[in-house]
Amino acid sequence: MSVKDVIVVGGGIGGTMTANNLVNKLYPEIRAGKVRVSLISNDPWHWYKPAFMYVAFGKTYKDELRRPLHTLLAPEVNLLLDHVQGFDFKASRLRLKSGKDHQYDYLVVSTGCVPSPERIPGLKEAGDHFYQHDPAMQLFEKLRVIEKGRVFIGVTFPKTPNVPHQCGIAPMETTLMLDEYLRQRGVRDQVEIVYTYPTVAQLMRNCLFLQRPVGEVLPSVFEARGIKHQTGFTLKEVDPGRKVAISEEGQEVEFDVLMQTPPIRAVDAVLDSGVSQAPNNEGWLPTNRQTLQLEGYDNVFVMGDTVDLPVSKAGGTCHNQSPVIVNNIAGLLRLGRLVAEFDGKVQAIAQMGFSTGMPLWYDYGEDVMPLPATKIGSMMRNGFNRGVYWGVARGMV
Amino acid sequence: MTDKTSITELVRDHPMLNNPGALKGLDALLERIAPLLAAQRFDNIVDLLSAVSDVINMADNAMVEKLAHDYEGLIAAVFSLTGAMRHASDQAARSETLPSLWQIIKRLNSDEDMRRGLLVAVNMLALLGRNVQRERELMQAGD
Repeated sequence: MSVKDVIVVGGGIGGTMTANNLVNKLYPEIRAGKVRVSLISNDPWHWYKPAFMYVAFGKTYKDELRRPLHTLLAPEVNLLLDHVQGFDFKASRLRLKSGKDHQYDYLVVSTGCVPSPERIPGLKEAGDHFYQHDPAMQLFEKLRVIEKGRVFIGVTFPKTPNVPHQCGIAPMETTLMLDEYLRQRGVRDQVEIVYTYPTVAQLMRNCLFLQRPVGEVLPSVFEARGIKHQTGFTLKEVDPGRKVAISEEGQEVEFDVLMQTPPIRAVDAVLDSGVSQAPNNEGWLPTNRQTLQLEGYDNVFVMGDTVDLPVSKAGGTCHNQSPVIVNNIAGLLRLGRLVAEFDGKVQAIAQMGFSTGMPLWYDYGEDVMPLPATKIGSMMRNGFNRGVYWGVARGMV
Repeated sequence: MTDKTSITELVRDHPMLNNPGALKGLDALLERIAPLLAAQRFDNIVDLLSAVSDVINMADNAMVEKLAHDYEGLIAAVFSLTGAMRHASDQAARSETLPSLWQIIKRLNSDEDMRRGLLVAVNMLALLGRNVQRERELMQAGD
């Protein structure tokens, strides 16, 4: 009797919950020794990445945002701490840094994305972001001492058409958090906050957000707080010496802190797989928007940040993609056919400043409908950050 | 702010209510609510809403964080224990021949993971025992 190998690559939120969900779904086969579920990660820690933005305001600590990966996995998950160096999709084989090759029957690619400020000249030297822990700490060191000047906020979208940047709502969330943080510090009157958005934002042009309904309410939200806003600023380069941000549209703006959502790309092994058709060497894998299969490879599924789909690169997306992938793998194993489709649903609770939050959801057919931000919304978000997330990672919620 | 001076005026002129569907729905709702109002069945519901509102007003981030921390502790324990139980039960069920007691003890001695697991259980027992001892000392000391 041959054992079917199901391998999940990536120990982030998508990979962790999917490995656990696979064990629960395929438990009869696992118990009978017919299926083995493995997870490959190059990091023994699982990080709660969306909360790095709180680090930038001194609101949370490193150890609150990570757990040993093995403690989040069911005992039936075969955890391999190794680095995938190569995907050979044609041969259904993975090449690992340790020198071992792994054959698979089914593969789930959940390798996330990599913030790459070095792709914009001068950004790495003079800019800041909150999408990784150490850069978020660096940003905090600047925000906690700034007394006057300008914090200039910008967003870089991938060059791949209709693909969003990491966590679409994060620039807006952090802008509102910044406003509140500087008010708490008593320096808000001396620090100008300027929120900008690029000319092209997925399917939108000259707007403040990547979806129209939210984009339309943002001006009033910002104006009520004295936050300046501007459309049509696509960062081209940064002059670190002069501390000037230069846009593709030809504008130059001086800043004291540049809080820029950086360019992103797929991880090296995905980039090197040669399967991506994305421009600008971004590496997004061509993914079927319903079945989540890698185009041309029926036994490979892609989720989270690695897809080339017009859905948020966020944990709330993985939460809805994971059951689809798990059901489809079970369907292929048991029935020889696919059984589930992804409808593009994403849900989250936006942090609208530190004291209010706004639950939101959308899918392929409907944009986010902005609702009033409430204290209960903020409490829900805080409860999620501090506890519920770890149930989600375990596939319990 | 509205310039209306009575509820009747407000409801009559409200644009969202001025359509047949909304009026029909409102009529059906009032029909169901009317006997409950007459019997004062909403009193407790209003009190409950008020209490919930008070709790939300009194709650702060620190309280939410403590509750969330407790939640994580609970689900981590449930996840760990139920997972271990399921896995261990299957392993035991798969054994064709049961090991003798002596073989189990031998395994206990040779398997480092098993001894560490045993140490966890022993340490837990020690903590429970220490608490019981302190309680006993308090009781013996009296008031």
